[in-house]
Amino acid sequence: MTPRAISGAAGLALVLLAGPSFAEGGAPIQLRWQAPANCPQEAQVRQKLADLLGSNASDATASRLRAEGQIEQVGERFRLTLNIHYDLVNGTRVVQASACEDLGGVAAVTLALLFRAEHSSNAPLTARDLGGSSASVLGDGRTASSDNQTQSSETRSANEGDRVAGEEKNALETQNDSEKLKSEGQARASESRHSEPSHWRFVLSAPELRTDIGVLPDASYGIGLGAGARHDAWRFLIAGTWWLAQDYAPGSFVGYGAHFARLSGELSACHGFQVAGFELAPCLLFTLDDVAARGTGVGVSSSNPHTAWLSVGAGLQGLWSLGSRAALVFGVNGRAATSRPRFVSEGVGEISQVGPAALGIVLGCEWLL
Amino acid sequence: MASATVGIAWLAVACEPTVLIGSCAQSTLADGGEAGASSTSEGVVGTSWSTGFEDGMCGYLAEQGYCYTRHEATLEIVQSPVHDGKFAAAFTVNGNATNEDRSQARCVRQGEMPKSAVYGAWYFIPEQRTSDGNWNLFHFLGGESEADSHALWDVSLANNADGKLVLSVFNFLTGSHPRIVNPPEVPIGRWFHVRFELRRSAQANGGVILYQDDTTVLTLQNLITDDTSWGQWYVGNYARILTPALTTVYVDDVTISEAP
Repeated sequence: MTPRAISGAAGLALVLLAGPSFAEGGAPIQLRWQAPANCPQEAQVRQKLADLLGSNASDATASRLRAEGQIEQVGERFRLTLNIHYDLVNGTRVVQASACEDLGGVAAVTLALLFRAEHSSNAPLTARDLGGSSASVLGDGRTASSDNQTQSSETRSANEGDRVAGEEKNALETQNDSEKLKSEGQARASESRHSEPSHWRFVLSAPELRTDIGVLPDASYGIGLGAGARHDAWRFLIAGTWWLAQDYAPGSFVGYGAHFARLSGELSACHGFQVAGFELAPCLLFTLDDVAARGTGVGVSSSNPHTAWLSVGAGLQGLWSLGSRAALVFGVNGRAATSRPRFVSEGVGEISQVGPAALGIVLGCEWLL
Repeated sequence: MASATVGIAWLAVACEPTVLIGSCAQSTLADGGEAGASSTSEGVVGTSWSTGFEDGMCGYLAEQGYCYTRHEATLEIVQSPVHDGKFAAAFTVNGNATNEDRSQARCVRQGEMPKSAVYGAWYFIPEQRTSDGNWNLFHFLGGESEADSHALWDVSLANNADGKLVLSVFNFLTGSHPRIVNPPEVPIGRWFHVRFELRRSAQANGGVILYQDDTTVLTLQNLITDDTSWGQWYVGNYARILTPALTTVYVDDVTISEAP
């Protein structure tokens, strides 16, 4: 049994001893649930979880755990798939049982254990914690998890699943064993020096490698960084990008053209959804582009004027966790310009005009601080 | 959401500010040393103007002129070959028979043309070409404005019986090519000077004289030469069908000067 599991079990013991007073306040973990009509429904699982946590879960908004549970009928048996998320860390547990009534309890106990583990240590939960282990209180733990958030399709064997489901129930009922774990959990909790984790977490996005088309005459390439905050599944970032300057000549007046230098700032609001081990986040974007353009060619002088305009758009980002504090971000976005400046050089005419829409790609690293 | 999209699209279309990122430097107004002195008033073309493209196209722009390219033609300010100074203009056209429109790259002076003046430019033709149609070097046009105008005179290149290039003239007012007796060959790979003296008159007392270097190629006297007061003078390269098709001519030291 891992220390984490011991701690979690101890925490569970605490909540078992604490009684069902939390039930009226609801479960502190975000949960989405799907199950056949004859199986435990979301309200029952939430109630069970609340009962398990009791008054020890004093701050119902403090957990960074989120979960989606789904029960499916497989032949004559039932399979629970529980996807668990802790910030950018993900894990999946799969349990099979002959009766689906047991699986609601399994989900509630699993989440209760993780909740306690979350609040009993400074250390953040890992993918191993979310996915469980063979030595966990929940039993064999034929579960899937990894730092890369891969999801296993393995399930317990039929007999084993029944056994584990039974163990889950036993875990709820065996307070003697829990008493033994309680002291360990308390000891671990006593080492914690921090208060409840903040609901808001600082996010640094650096570096960001960007490319887009539709703003300057040729494709642009830039590097930038951003900063912001996460609040549950929401992420708010303000980012700046420095773009490589580009020279462009329209063609018919050879040697006449323009030199473009560009900076941009972007404000984004994204909401993440866990999909197959990744976080997919639709985003709303506001981009401010500032372009300094200088006409080039024999006899042409320029004061290198600046012009700026706002674009509004939307994007989709995919976050691939590199651990509990880092993620690789890949995003695509489209933006519509609210203004389309025309860059004109005397004698040559229009060199370029900002396009009505721009398409961009971003690749970067996100750091959760 | 749809209304927001429409709103942004409308804003983008409605808001298209022009950002002037390049203009002629102040010093370029004096390219050739005489541009400023030539304009006695706005819209009047003086008889003491020149540009050697040392300031690119600004010698034209400073005098309400312009340069343009159409139909696969290009204009480039080059450092070789040059007749004088550091730069010359390379006018390249695609004399492809498949082109319905004539490929052309030219620079234009326009306004109230002088009563009598000599219009000159140095040309450099790097390679021999065969022309099947008009291969124009100078073009004079007159009217009330550019939109209400008609052609007056052409100075063009044509192949003689030996296939050599020679100068030719076309009078649009009579619709005829004045006969040129034994025109000198146009040199290939060497600068040569083309001058066209035009004494404008709506009565039959005008005249034109064409010079190639120091040789008088054609003289026409006592004829209607220009029945308008406003005009344009095109210098550059304009072609219909050339073989080979892609053809560059270099131009330097374009002048408008008083007739002797």
